[in-house]
Amino acid sequence: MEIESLLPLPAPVFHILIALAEGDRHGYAIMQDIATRTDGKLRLGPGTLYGSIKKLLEQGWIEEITRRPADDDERRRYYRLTRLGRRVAEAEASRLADILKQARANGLVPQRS
Amino acid sequence: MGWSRSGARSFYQRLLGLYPEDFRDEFGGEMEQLFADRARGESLGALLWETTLDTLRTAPKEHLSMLIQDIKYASRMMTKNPAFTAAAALSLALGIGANTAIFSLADALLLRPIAAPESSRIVTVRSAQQMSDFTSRGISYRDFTEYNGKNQSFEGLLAFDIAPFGLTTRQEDLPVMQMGMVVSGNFFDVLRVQPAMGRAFRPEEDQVPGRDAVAVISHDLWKSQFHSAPDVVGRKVRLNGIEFTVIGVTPEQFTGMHQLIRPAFYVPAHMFPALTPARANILEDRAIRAFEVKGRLKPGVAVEAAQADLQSIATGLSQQFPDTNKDEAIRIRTELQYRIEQSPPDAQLVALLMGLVAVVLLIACANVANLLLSRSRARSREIAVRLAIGAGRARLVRQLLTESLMLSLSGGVMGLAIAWLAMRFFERIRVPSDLPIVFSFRMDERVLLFSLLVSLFSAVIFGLVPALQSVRSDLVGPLKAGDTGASARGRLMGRNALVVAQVALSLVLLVSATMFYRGFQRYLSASPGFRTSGLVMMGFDPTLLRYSEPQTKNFYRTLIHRVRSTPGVKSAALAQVIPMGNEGDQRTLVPEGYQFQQGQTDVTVPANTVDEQYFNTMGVEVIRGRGFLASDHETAPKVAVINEEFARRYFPNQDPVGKRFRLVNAGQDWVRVVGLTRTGKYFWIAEPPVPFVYLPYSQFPRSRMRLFAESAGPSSQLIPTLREVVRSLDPNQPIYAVRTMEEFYDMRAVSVPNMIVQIVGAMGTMGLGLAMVGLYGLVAYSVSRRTREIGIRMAIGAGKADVLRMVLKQGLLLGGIGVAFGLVISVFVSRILASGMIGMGQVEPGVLLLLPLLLLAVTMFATYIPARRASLIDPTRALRWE
Repeated sequence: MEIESLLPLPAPVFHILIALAEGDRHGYAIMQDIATRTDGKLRLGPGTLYGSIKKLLEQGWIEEITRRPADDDERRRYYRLTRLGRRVAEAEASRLADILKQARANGLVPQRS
Repeated sequence: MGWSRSGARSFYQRLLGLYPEDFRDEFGGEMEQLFADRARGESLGALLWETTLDTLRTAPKEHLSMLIQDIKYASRMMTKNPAFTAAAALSLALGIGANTAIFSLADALLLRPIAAPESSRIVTVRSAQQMSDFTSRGISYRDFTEYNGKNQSFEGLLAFDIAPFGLTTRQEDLPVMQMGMVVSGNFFDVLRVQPAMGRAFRPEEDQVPGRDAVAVISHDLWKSQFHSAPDVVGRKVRLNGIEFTVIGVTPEQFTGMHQLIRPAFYVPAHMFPALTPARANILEDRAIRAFEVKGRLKPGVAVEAAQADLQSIATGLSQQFPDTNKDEAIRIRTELQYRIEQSPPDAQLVALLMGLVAVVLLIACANVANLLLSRSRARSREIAVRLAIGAGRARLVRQLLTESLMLSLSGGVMGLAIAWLAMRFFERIRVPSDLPIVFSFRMDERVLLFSLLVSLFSAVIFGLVPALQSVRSDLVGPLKAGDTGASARGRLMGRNALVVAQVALSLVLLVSATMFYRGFQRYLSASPGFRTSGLVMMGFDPTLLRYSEPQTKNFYRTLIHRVRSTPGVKSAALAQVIPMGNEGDQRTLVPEGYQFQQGQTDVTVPANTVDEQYFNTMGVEVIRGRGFLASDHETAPKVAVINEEFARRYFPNQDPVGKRFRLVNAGQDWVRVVGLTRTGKYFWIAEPPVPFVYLPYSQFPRSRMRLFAESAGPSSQLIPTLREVVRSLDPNQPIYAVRTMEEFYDMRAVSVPNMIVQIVGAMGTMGLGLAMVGLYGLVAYSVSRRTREIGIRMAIGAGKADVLRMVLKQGLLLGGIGVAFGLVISVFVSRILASGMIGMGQVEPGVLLLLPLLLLAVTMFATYIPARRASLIDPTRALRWE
């Protein structure tokens, strides 16, 4: 399947992929990571979070891993980005970068020194 | 916030119940954990608020996405097995289509509500002679105004009467007879029907007799007589010679208060006396209960409360006007109750056809259930695998039901096409009348909704059992390749039972169809008690030309005299009513010496007003006494002829000739019975014995009469001659309802029963066809399942003939059991039919013998094909069969 045909990604999905790109995480950690990175502007509710995770699992962009810290609560499940998921996230990032470049060229983005 | 942490968690747990089960199984635990994690760091109130909103937003999304998945999956399954899908959808299309068609018939005949907003709150108010009397009657205009003014329960009561009037749009035209409604001034307001053009009546336009000649015309009349002229408001029409101003046009969908009669116009009740001088005191006399009263209940008011309210007003009127209103009782009926009461045969017919066609649907559903069960063997592996890898059973049931639903909906869509064809067939029902009596069959939202409901209902019927059975199956059996497990055997039992039920039900349908057929055949072959051929009839109403009473009498006297001396006419007579016509007359009377039940003071009996030649011309035999004579003139003692049923009921065990009765509201004279006729048919060929009274025209004249002429040659040739005779009397005299008796009798008595027999017969055939497809499918399936066994039998010496016999035996056994059950049910059903529907034939033993044989023969045929296939099995290959 052409990866471009999957784009653009819904914001929550892209943010989850970004969070997992840094390392394997459980749901709560993903949520916290996103909140931190966006200065608390994007807070995924549990329904939105797990609804997106369900779709990502079905599409094979992320997978569940069985390895976990020994002391952790067994109800927490950890997720990892698959190779496909990484490629999708990269494609989305470069798509956004292109758009940003065009915006900047037309003076829409304030120049930072 | 008073939330404890554990309280908040259990609240969230309950909130999670809103998600689909699968989703909850998958992520519920994690989500609770996440909630607990957050609860440690965040304020509980804000967290609860946020998660509640989040759940309400995302839970429906999850449900939707699951539904979409189910639908995608189901359509994949349907396209994968096109033969299966086609067979199932076609079965359903027949079942649903037949049901939709009969519903449209029921709707046109009985069920369709009045085309007014919130019509469920509109009820009918009738009066009765006393509390215990179950026959109801109309209400006088005087009483109506009191009920309307004094009640607390209705937003408004309205009154109306339907009557024929002569209508012309230009003065020089001949009047045309049209049905019109005479209505109380608030008629359109209470109904909340806004005229499409112009306005409705103002209250003051229905207050002074004869003053406000204004009319609201129907959409149909506007189109036909005014060619949809946009400036029709303000134009003039003449009704019975009086000029009316058109003030409005009704909207197209509003066709009056009766299912079949579409009035052409509406005029204020206070114009009634001017329009019909013969009933000059219709607005004043409380004894003339000519008006139909309906009312719109206030919201939340129950029928019982409204009835008690009006009853207290009625009781007051009884005390105030004992002469006319003694013991006046009020009956409130919903529209449907009222319609059933007005025409019980229609209601019976509708109930019966709906019942039979539901049986067709059940047979179709059994077919589809059977197909699904045969496939569930193939699918049980797939389902077992999915259960084994952890799919929820509820989810699987849901998915299988989605498949059933999609099947039934596609069947429903095809069914609509079948229903449409059937409706074109029903439209062939013709009503012999010049009045606008219309059966309107419509594929409207009600019909669509009905077929949708039937589709959903059948999906549950045929889908649920196989779905539950599929997921109940144990995991181990189907995962192993063989199909010998207990569940497979149980499934076969279930399928056998379905086929037995199909055969039984189709036998019931065939027996019912035969009963209809035999019943109608018997009635049609018996004489209805009057001549049904060799007659010409035509109708007149000289009051349309505003003839006075003496002028009218004179017209008829001259007419009958001239017609009798016309060459080609053997005899001629006048009568007010055509036998079996759809306009009847009735007389209220008190038979001398008859002991009434307590509280009852008179009886109302169907009647006809005829001249002295009627019995001869119509072939109605007078079996005792005499018919009417020229000597029974206006001033001679009043006489009547009654039928045997009248005599049996009101002069039991006596010679009726010489007995007397008194007519209510027609002077104090006694009327002496001078003759007796056999009890014939007066309304419909399949009616119970009806008491009937004939009165002589010379003593009880009416203005609307019909001429019957017995012809020497072919009756239709007489028509132009008779028209010429009428023209020579008065070139302006309108003639209506010109027909030969053959034509009339065929429309009225022959074609409708034939159509009913055809409908029921078609249902029987459909049922039989569906049952045979089911039987064929089952036997074919079991042969394929027993291939290996049959191979072994042949290897150890069984011949082709043995195998053929063995398989045929299986089919015949199922057919035989079905027939046995069917016979037992048929006996019960035929009893119900014979008691509920007058005119149904008894089933002869011969039929009960012949139909099962027919059914078994067809069973044999349906089984033969797979049986033959079984006998051709090659043992060496069959033994390798897995």
